[in-house]
Amino acid sequence: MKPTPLSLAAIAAVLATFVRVIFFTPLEAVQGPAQKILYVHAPSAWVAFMAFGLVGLTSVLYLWLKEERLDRVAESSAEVGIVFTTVVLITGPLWGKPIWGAYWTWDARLTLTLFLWFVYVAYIVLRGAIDERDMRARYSAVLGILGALLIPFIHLSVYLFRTLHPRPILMKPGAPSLPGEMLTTLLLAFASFTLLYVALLRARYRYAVERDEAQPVEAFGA
Amino acid sequence: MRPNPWRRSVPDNSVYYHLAYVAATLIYAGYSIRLAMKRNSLKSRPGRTHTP
Repeated sequence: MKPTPLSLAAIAAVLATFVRVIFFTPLEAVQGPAQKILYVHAPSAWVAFMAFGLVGLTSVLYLWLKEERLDRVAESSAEVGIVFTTVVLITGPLWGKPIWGAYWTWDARLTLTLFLWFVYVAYIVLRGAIDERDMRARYSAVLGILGALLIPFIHLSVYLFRTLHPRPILMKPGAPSLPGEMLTTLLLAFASFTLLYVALLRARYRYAVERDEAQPVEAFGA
Repeated sequence: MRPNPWRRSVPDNSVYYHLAYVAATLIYAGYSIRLAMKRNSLKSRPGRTHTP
């Protein structure tokens, strides 16, 4: 399959971010090199929340409008969101071990993020278990909306509960708590990972369209 | 010049940093390749009803 200009731009942007992180971003004095995990962990979390937020939004719109394309966007965004959440759940413990002394702790932020991952894995499993398209779209829309309700709780969990996880340094009231060079790298990482999400979402959506076109369509909207 | 005994040295935990970036790269690249392979296999499937 030929790569699209969008996917090439996303790959170039992510590579440029990695080069900036490795060669042009200073080390944090207390945490050392492990702090650089921030530039892959936080943008992946941002994209995961955005992806599942889109699942929630398109699922609501699907239940209202019964438009097949909305169901495909929700399905595609959920799968891509799982990929980004997997990266969050792997890079987080790799950052936690040298800083906290433990890979995992059952605090609110970490546990809720793990639950979010389980909910959307269940969403994909549910979709695979129902053959009838209309029923599959309705049931998964409900689960997609319920899963998206976890996102504000996860974001606010560091304020609502006593937790080891640090509070937001960017998405908070007031100025960002990072020096200029680090902030530039983080913003570049947010932009490039968002572009990567858009490219993956588009490719996954195209796959869903081609798959549905190759299958008989009598079940949808029956 | 005498070293400052109060100055903290930066900890050497670069193995975790490298592992995190390798893991993220493998996951994103692996998913992209898998998706491309799924689309390719769909296109080459016999009896495909859609003609673009």
